[in-house]
Amino acid sequence: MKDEDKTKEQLVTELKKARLGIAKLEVSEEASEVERRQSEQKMFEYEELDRLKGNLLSTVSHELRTPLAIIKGYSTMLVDYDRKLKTREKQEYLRSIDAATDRLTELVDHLLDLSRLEAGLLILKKKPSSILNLIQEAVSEANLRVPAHKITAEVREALPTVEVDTRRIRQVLDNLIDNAIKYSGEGTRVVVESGYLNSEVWVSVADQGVGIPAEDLERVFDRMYRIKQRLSPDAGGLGLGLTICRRLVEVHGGRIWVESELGKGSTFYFTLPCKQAEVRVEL
Amino acid sequence: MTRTHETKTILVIEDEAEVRNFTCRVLELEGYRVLQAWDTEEGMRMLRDGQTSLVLLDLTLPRRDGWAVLEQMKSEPGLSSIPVIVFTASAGVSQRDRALSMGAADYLVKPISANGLKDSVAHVLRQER
Repeated sequence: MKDEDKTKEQLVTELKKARLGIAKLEVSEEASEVERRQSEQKMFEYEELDRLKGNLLSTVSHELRTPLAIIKGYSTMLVDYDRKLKTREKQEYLRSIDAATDRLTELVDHLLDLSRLEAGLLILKKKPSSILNLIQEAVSEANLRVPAHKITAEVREALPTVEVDTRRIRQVLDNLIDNAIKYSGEGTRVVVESGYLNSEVWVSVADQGVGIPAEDLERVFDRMYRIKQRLSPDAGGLGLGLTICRRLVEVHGGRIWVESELGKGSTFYFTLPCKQAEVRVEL
Repeated sequence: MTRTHETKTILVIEDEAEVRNFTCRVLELEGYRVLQAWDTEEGMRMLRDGQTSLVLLDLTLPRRDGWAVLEQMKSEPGLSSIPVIVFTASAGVSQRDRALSMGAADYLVKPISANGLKDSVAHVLRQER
């Protein structure tokens, strides 16, 4: 049938159908646009993941090779130059080899911890614990390890018991204290404080070190994030310590953050929840 | 220490204290005079003092990395002829190719033995004669 032979009603019906068809086409175009954007986003995420994996591999390779270089270098020196080296020097190299193996062990532990945390495979062995005892143990051991710093625990109030995996919370404390030492000068103070507020126990670790630039404060807990301008010549490592601390605090239901002033020092805080019903105050 | 090798001066630019110590000590035991720097700026300042016969260069340095040293050395007439041995923890082939194409005389990947280090330095200095 030709258009001129159609009734007005038939033409209106066909027009409606045509409009509906166009609308459907527009909807499908919009859908494909959404799909296109989604696949672009996925592609971007894959590329980002690939880049991160590449970075991780090269950083891990670099950080493993440095202590290996110390071990290989000094051990071959001890063999090849045995007659030219004095006993004291040999002992110094053996101590360096020992320290480098500790560094390697820590790197491997960090990688395993992070993998377990990210895969949700870390099993916490929680039990009611005294945060004060954990702080005192950590401070006491840090003072033995690094006598050049003055590390003190200052807890002025009675604290409730917390339900934590003590080994993992010690790991957080040790990491924060070691970071404070690493980024501050010999003879300066590192103060660990703790208190109780709003059903949470809080712990802070403050140093008088180089501080963190304001633009880096949010990112220091990111995996492998390193402040662009390395502030300490000996600040090696994978940059996983604070990431692991954050994950460990979070799996305990707490929070972690940092406040800092460049050139004056940094204070890291973390909290651990206390269920009101379970609060038992230490006296 | 008895000086051999006509007391050549080697500049070691390395930020990792223990690796720097190992490198410098091996070279001293081999009779070289050794200068050491832990970053690019200090290294460039020592280079411009004009005594260096060879540079052992780490690539991962604070602030400006080792690539910047290599680039700057090759563009400065007074420094461009000084041989550079890159001594790095970066094992990638592309990094190696890049360093050699920029004029590095050798590319050593950590870890390396005392003998490996000694042999590379001796080989590069022999080629420079």
